[in-house]
Amino acid sequence: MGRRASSGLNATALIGIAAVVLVLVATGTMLLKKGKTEGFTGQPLPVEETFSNATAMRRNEYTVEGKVFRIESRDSGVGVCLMVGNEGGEEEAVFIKVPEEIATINLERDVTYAFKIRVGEGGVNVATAIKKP
Amino acid sequence: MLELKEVCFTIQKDGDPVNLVNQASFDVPRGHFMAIVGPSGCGKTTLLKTIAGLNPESGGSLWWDGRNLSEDGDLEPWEIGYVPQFSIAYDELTVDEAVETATRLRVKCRNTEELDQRIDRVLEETGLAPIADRHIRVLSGGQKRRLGLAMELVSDPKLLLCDEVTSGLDPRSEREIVHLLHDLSRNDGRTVILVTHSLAHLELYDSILVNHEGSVAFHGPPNQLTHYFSVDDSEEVYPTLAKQSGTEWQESWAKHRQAYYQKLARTRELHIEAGVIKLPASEEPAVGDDEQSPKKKNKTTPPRLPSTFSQFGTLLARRWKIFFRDRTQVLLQVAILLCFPILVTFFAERGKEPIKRLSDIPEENIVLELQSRVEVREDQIRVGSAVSGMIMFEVILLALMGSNNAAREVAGERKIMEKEKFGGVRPVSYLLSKLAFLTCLILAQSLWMAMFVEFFWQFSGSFASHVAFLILVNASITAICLAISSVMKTPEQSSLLSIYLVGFQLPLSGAVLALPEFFETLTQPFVSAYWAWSGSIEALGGNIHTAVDVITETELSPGNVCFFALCAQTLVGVIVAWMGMVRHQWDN
Repeated sequence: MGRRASSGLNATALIGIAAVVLVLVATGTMLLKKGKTEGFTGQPLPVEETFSNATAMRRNEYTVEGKVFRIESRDSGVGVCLMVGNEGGEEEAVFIKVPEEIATINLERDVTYAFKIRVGEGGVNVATAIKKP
Repeated sequence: MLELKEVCFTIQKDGDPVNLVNQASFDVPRGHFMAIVGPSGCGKTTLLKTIAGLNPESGGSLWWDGRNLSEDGDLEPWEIGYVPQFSIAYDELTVDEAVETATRLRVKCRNTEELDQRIDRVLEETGLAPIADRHIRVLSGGQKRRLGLAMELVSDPKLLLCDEVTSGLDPRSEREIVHLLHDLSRNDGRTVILVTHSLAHLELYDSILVNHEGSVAFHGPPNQLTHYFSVDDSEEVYPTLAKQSGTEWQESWAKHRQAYYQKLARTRELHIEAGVIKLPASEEPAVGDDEQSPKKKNKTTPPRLPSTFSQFGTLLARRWKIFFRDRTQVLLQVAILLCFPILVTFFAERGKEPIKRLSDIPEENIVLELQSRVEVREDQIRVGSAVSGMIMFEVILLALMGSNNAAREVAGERKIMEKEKFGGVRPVSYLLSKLAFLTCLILAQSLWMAMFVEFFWQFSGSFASHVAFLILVNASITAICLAISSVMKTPEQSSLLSIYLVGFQLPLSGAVLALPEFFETLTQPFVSAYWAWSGSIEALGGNIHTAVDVITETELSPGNVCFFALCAQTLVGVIVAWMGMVRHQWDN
């Protein structure tokens, strides 16, 4: 039972503040981890084949994951170019057309996305689903 | 009775302990009017603050009615009144309003009738009733001191401590105040202690305590003062004091103390018998007589403190009253509210321009295809820059408003807040009243900004998210500036730091120039403008978002992370503000 001068933050208040800080740190970490979901399961896109034999791949479905380095607004949606690692360990640029109805999330440069794609009739990759892993 | 037993208040000066109060021992009975006198810097106010509990005693003990104040609990807020040297009222209020607010904050009244009775009694007692409707800003120095007293008397304190309340007053006002204090000590067993450097009107005091270099050099009847110091006139006491050290005077006084205390006790008994001093039935009849029957003790019902919610309501009502009566403040707020959004809309036309898209089928002519790409890129850069700039402009202006809202909110009235805390106002009531007041400003400013700009430039995307981010950036800066305000010592320091805080928001947000990665990682968590800007851009849709993304080098964060970061900043600001309000900062 001290006097006024010695009154101030008591132990309970300090514990409460420490608890709030812990909750903030935990929530922040959880939010950041939440974004790191798994990519799509399915057959990965054979990157080298898309340059040499794209038409043969028509109507096939693949999954692909890479960092977007270019975004273009197009009449029927967005065109994205992303860097994808090939079987030889090198990175190749892959173009994917993202129809407006699929582009439910804002695509950004220098961000990695996972795409589920279907190879169209002209050999163009068309996204059927997007995730931000 | 107030008893001090070898009380010390020690500070460290250049690594050595210095006793500002040096083993002070004296008794002050109920219904007693005592003056603490001494030359400037002798430790009069320090002694008074030690009695009040504002300076922690380093040694010895203080007792009130047989209660050790350090061990058995301090004086209740209603038991003690402390009138400081500074004004404890807002100039914008009237005398009646100031006293009413003090009463509502310190005493729980059963009904309005009891409240009115208490206010009227205090106004009558202090002679303020005829000027109850007058604004404080037009009061004279003497009237302000009376008001300070009135605001302390609302809880009917049994111990009234007054610090230099007569200094700076003309002789007439000084005499009136000393007479008033004398009268206040005659009834209900109220002990009044006045710190003063003046040796006038000594005959009105029951006892005089002379302090020298932190030590008690004399405590006895006023008519014995000249005799004790062997001088012809009381004015010669201070020069005589300088001839010996405080410790020597104290040792000398210890030898005579008992004899002078007997004289004090005899005079007191005579005064009580003559009815000059009126003690309530439950109080002690004479010095040294501590015996009271339990039945008598129960007769006095101490006033109760109002609830936290009640104090919050009173503080909030007062804040709004002061706000609306301060024309400059109202005009400034209205000007900011109206002009800032107009500044943003100057750029609205560029943000509304269409952005070309590339055709799904590439041009067969490579030159035409490249030309088409260049045109699209030019559109993206033009519109993207305008949109990004407008959003950042909104964010920065709201941050500036937040800083203006809160920078002086606590630091500007720190002394009054500390005084009110001393009187029983809970820091949490104070914090809640500030938060409620500031929330209204935040909502008005942010919603008006969002809707006004929306009228000229339609936000392409989730407008609700954009509004939420604008509210949050204003809230986070307001909370952080409130924290700064509650931690800083002066309003000037607080304002300066708050302005710096806003000034650094734009360059550190990365919206204009991308920061080096290591620096960005270090600063980004603390830059509210980045989170609000990034969150708002995330809320943009399709083509416009792509355009902004094209011109932005700084990595944008997901909306939920931005939302969390701003909420966390706001929460941290509120917690620090509360800690600053709880912290004892009486001397600032």
